[in-house]
Amino acid sequence: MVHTHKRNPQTNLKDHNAFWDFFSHSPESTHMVTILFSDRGIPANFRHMHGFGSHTFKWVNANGEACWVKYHFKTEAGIKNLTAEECAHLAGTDPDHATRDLFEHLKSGQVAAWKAYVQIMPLAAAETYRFDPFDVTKVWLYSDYPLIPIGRLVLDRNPQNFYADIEQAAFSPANLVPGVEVSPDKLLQGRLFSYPDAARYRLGANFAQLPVNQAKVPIANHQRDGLMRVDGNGGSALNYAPNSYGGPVAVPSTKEVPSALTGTTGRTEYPQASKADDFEQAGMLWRVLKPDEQDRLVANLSGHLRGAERAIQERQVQHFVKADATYGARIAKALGISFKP
Amino acid sequence: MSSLTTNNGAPLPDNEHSLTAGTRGPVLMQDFQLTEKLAAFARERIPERVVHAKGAGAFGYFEATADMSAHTKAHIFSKAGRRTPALARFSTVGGEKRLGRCRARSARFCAEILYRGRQLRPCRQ
Repeated sequence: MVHTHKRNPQTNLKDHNAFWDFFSHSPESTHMVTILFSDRGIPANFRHMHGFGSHTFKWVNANGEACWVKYHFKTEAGIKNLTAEECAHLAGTDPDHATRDLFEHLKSGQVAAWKAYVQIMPLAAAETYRFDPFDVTKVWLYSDYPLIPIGRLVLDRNPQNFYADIEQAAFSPANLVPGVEVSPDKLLQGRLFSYPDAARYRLGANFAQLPVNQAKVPIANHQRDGLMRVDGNGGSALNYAPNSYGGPVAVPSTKEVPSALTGTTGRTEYPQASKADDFEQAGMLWRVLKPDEQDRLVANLSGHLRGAERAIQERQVQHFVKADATYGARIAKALGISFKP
Repeated sequence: MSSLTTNNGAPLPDNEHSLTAGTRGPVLMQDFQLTEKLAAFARERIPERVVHAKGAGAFGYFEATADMSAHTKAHIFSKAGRRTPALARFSTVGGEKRLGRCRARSARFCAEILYRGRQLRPCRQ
């Protein structure tokens, strides 16, 4: 997917045809595409937008009882978006406007804050929920799993040095603490490897020793050496285990909660993929948009889709039709595609 | 149609689904096709040029229109009509690869031309 958002391998230009060729062959993207081209696709800046963890994680309590969770962060500043015209203007006059807004806002002594929530799903419900709870192309409906407030994320301090504090920061969904475990969400599973792997390439094998990435607890293991090792490298401690002379030992109390497995190994769809179609949630979103929001969604989508070949436009329109007949008809009309409901 | 392969030439059995322990289980480490793909993706970017980052280029030729052998023994200038394959790249001097040029009024344009591996840099500043 990311390749289709980047540049054409020959022209080095942005490629609307590749973008829609991929999405029109990936109907499960219809909900995401609808969000992307709605007003919320162009937040006014970093402060006036919500956050969503996308992935499903597992929470485990002190008794070893587990549940599935999804994280949400709702901005306390309220949602603010730009129109496509405002965005096009800013791209020419101040492409760094969101960076500028955040820095100046914090510099003035104010904070940027989000209310944090989780949706909680009982472990067993994952087997029967009509949307596969580990498929990132589907959300858990609030009406099924309501938001439960858990806290507040507050940003109140600017970096002192952008390179040291932000550019060298290595984020990863594998940065977990006891009490938070992974789920079988396949995109999460891939990212558990690929985020730290990208950091090893971008920042080096010892990226976790950079000040911004350093753990707040002592590090003790048998891993040694590598480019730019700067933390004392374990000193004179032994670099193997088991051994006769002591050293760090594993902590059995932090063992992961067991997950039951059935079946055989294989390359398969999510088990619930067939229970819900790929279009229902996109249709739900379309129907809660106000008329003017729908107008802008249609204008944004049709404007961008015009950069794709006719056959691709027609294939993509069918996805919008399946989400909601009116939604599809309006995109078809804007593109001059004949459409029979 | 050609077969989809890994980098060591083995055919890929499936390009859509990773290998899991059961339909509901975690992805397996033995899915080396997936780790190869993920590791390649993470390593796509090389550092951008510190200067002349944003640019474009094309292939062509340099054609000498005069015999300059009285002044230089350089082969490419030695005979009118001699064509030498060339690659040219045009770029901004300052700025960054990712930014547009809208605000880069102070940017100077430069052309670098590669003749048979030798680099000349006629610059208009």
